[in-house]
Amino acid sequence: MKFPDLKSKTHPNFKGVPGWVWAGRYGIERQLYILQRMTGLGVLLYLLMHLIVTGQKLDQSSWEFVMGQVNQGLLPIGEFLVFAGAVFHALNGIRLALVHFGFLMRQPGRPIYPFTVAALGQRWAVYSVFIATAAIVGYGGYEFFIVAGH
Amino acid sequence: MRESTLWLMHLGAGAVMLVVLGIHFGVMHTGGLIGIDRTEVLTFASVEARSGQLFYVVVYLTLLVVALYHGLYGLRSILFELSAIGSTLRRTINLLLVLAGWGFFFYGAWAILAGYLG
Repeated sequence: MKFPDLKSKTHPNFKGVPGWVWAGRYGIERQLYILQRMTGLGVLLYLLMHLIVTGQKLDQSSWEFVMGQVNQGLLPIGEFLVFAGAVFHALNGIRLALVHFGFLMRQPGRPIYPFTVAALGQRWAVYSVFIATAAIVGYGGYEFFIVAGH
Repeated sequence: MRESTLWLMHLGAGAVMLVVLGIHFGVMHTGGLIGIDRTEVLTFASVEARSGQLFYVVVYLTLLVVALYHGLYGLRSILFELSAIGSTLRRTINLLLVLAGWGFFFYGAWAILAGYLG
């Protein structure tokens, strides 16, 4: 009988980017992990561009030129998406910090049937993040699209 | 510096950002709630007026420091977590991110202070 070679040749359990994006059929917190990172990367990219753009504020003609450029096409939509992403990232970040320090976690119980999952004790915080994000982004959208007319 | 200290600084920077970015977003995106006209907030006169106020200089300088640290440390965490990269590549990534952080800090601080000093 031939046995397979069990010795790892490279990095065991290394999935790279696919493992980062899709690790299996986990709960909503695992999907929020992806969303937290995607919004973080998006906001970081915007921050660096934003620094370059706002550096033009020292001269009126440069400022008005660059403001004219960033208000063209789909860029205002992108700016609003960054705002929405930043609001979600901040609120979900508060939830993550509270979970990290144990404030939202339920006390673990003895493994007696029917089993309870201590991690689910913070599920209400997940829904709160969604509701608060929707409220703030909704009002921001009203100002952005209706009041300012972007 | 220990990795746990860097991580705690990352969390601390996030907490400070809640305040200063909250002020920035409050003015720029939800200013109608506090009587700031959204159509006026991006005009040169409005930007120039804010740049000349010490309060906004402190807010923007604080935001610049904590946002760059929080963002670039977050990017570093993602890169280090994604793959089993070697120590040489880790040192290179560290060096590039530190250089980028200082570069953007000096550029942003120059724009903020030059706007304040006129």
